[in-house]
Amino acid sequence: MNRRIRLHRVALRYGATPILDGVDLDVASGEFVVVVGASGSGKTSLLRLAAGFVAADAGDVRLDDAPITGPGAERAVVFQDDALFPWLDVRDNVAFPLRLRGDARDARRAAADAQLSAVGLDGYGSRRLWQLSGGQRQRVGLARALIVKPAFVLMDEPFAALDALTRAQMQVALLQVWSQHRQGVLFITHDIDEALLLATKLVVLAGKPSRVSETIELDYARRVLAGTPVRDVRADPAFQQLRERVLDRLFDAAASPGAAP
Amino acid sequence: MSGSAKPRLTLAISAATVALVVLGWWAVTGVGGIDPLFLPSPAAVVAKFFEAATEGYADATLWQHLGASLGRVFAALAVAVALGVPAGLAIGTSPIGRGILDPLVETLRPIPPLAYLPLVVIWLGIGETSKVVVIAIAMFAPIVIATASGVAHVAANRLDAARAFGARGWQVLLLVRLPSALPDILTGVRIALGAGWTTLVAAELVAATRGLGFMIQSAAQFLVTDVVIMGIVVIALIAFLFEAGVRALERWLTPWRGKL
Repeated sequence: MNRRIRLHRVALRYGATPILDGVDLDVASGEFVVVVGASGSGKTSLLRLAAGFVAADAGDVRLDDAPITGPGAERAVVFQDDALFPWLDVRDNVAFPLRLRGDARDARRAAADAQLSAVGLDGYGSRRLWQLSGGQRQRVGLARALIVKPAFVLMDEPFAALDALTRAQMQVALLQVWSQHRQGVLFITHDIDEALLLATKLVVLAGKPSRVSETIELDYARRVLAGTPVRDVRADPAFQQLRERVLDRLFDAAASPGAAP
Repeated sequence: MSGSAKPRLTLAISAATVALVVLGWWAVTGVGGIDPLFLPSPAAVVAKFFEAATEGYADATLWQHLGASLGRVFAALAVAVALGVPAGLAIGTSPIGRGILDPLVETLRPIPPLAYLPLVVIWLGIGETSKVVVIAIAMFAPIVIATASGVAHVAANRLDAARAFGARGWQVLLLVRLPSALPDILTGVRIALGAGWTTLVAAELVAATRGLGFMIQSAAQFLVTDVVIMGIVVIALIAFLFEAGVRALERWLTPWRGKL
């Protein structure tokens, strides 16, 4: 089924400070939408709007035709610092959404083990979180999001805390997981390379307050999925040019003193 | 790296300090001139320990006194946890709960046990109940305050995660806030056990026939100083064991503490 999250002319303030103003954003099933922006540009706020954690001060946030008024099972969230529960083992963390739903214990544990296999953590169910690396914990967070078979996955800088090598592995792993079900993905990052690599649609957020500075359709993710090595994709001159173009956008917007690059 | 060397050094210094104090005690009493009524020798105190352990003192063996005191303290702990954790939850998560309970707890907290003891005896009589209640009152505030702080300061992203996956209010409370606060609650229990144990002597002031506190008071009335000191040492040793016990409980129940 083709579904759509649509933000239309959305504005958001923190106290008196306007963060977002007149932002339009669409995420449809099968789309991998990456929002790239500087620190403090309100890109996480954008995700929190889509997740239903906060309400817009102006404009429209809709799922299909209904206004989003709170979190929902069709929109799963993956958090920057995994937001897992250390008192549960890996399996019970992944099964947590099913527990809230009231599924039987055996069923949800079996489902969790299957989902762990799907994210490359076969046999890790009984581990405790502190026995995992940062990358493995993010896979657990991803498995927990995917176990409810959501129509949308909302990811808030999920790889920001990882080292470069692990991050590169996780990017490809994420694309492979996504390619199986083609959920609609809203992915937030400040890493332009990551954004270019993953996005089927790249949204550049810039300005103060932020608005959408540019939207670019991309096919690097499809090339990676088709088997092109990531190194070759990155070496593509067009990739480099796009990188510069996005960087320029962000720098122009960040020209005011005190803003992060 | 030096993680194991440093505590070992500290431990050695602590052991040496204790040994030095006992040595000084032994030396001071050994040269004579100090009436054992004021300070008996370590040997006399140790001898009293074995005498009380086997033949007993004040119509009960040391173990029976100890058992009576431990029974009261753990009964009080059960009461304090059963009431204190829900009270802490209410204070930490609800403005109404905070409004009602916070002033009560804060009023109760600084009152010394000897001050409310008469009132408890007037209300509940001289039986076992009033002794347990006196200790439980001393334990209540630390548990309430630790629980309230723990459930109020759960990492925001954990709460977001719970909400994102559809947790209702009571599910957030039981499945996320309470386990998140478990390390704080155990800290509260640790402080409460210390506070309760300190209250023991006061609790056993009125109409007790057994208990470490009773044993000390009884000995004090007859100026049996070696029993008084022996009782004090036993109370200190038990407090030390409580501390070790709760720390073991923390390692078992909250193994993630300090790791994540």
